[in-house]
Amino acid sequence: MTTQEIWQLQALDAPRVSAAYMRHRARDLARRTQIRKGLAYVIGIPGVLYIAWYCWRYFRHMPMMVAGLALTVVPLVYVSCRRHRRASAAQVPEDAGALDSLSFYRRELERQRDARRNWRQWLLPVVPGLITLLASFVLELNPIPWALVAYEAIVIVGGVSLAVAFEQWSARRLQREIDALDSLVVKEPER
Amino acid sequence: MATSTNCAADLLAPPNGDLESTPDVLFEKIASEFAAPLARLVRAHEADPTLQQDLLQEIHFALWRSLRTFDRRCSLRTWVYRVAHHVAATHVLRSRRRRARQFTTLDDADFPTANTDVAADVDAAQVLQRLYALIQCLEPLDREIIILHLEGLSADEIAEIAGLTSTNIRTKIHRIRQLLATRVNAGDRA
Repeated sequence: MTTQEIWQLQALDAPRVSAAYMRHRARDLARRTQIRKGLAYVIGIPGVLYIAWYCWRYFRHMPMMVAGLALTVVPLVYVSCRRHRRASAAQVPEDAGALDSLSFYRRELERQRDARRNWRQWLLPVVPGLITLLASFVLELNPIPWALVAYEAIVIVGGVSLAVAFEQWSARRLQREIDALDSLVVKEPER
Repeated sequence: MATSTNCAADLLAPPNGDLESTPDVLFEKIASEFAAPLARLVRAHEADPTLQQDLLQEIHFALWRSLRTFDRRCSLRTWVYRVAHHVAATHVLRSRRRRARQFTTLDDADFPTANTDVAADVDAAQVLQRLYALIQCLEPLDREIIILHLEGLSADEIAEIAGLTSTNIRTKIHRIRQLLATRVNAGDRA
């Protein structure tokens, strides 16, 4: 018996899935998406209101620190959501059957590589907030907490450098995989 | 050789009428004719039985959604295998990120050689075990080629699904045959 025969004759549980079940699943997915969106609003709106109240309350005493916090948190939340949406594996598109595997796989790798190469897009928006926060420690607190200032400076410089280095390493690894796929594409000789 | 994929031969014919081309009717046919090949494909890509069920459902769901855009420019079998392999490749990429696992190519596959003393009466279950272990350490594209080869598709059919040239696929199939003969060792010849 050849391996092909063994493969094709293997005993396995092959459940039959009906179109009715798929319709049920599609409805269930739509319902869960609605619930998730609703929850995001239910949690997000009080969160935004709390931050607004916090800023209003402390803005008079420490305006720079409040501005620094807001400038850090708001872009961080925004870019995190955006990055999560882009970097996570995309749902297979409806016309996936029209696309051969090499093109599909290459596109997936490119998408992940680009998400990693675009580190400036998530890093730059939070830098002004972090610097403002650092400045507020020096200008608004008395006595100046030098240990905290030094700690934050180390976190900003060290953390950012490490994150950028990791993203670049990851992008290079993905590029090597893309190059390996490209090397598979050899033109067929003319017949 | 068993021909589970050939059961879908009637699906390759053009539609006889509107009813035949209804996505739900097509889906029911796919679910019936491709149940076993899809189950084998899922088992080849995912070792965890719980995740196998999730992946199988994900593939069926992607197929059901995709049939609305099926324009018959390729055969239904090609379409089914493309969608199924795209979902499986996405699953592999996701799990690789989660498990930080590195895969290899067919050319670099270093797999323990089968014991030739028991080659004659080697147990089918052992062959399958070795086969799954071999497939699961390969890159998604190489997995696809070996699975389609095992399903009995020709080099040209595999080339159409995978997007590589027939020459390239034949070279890879030659390498697969070598691996199957030396590492899996059922009754194959390199």
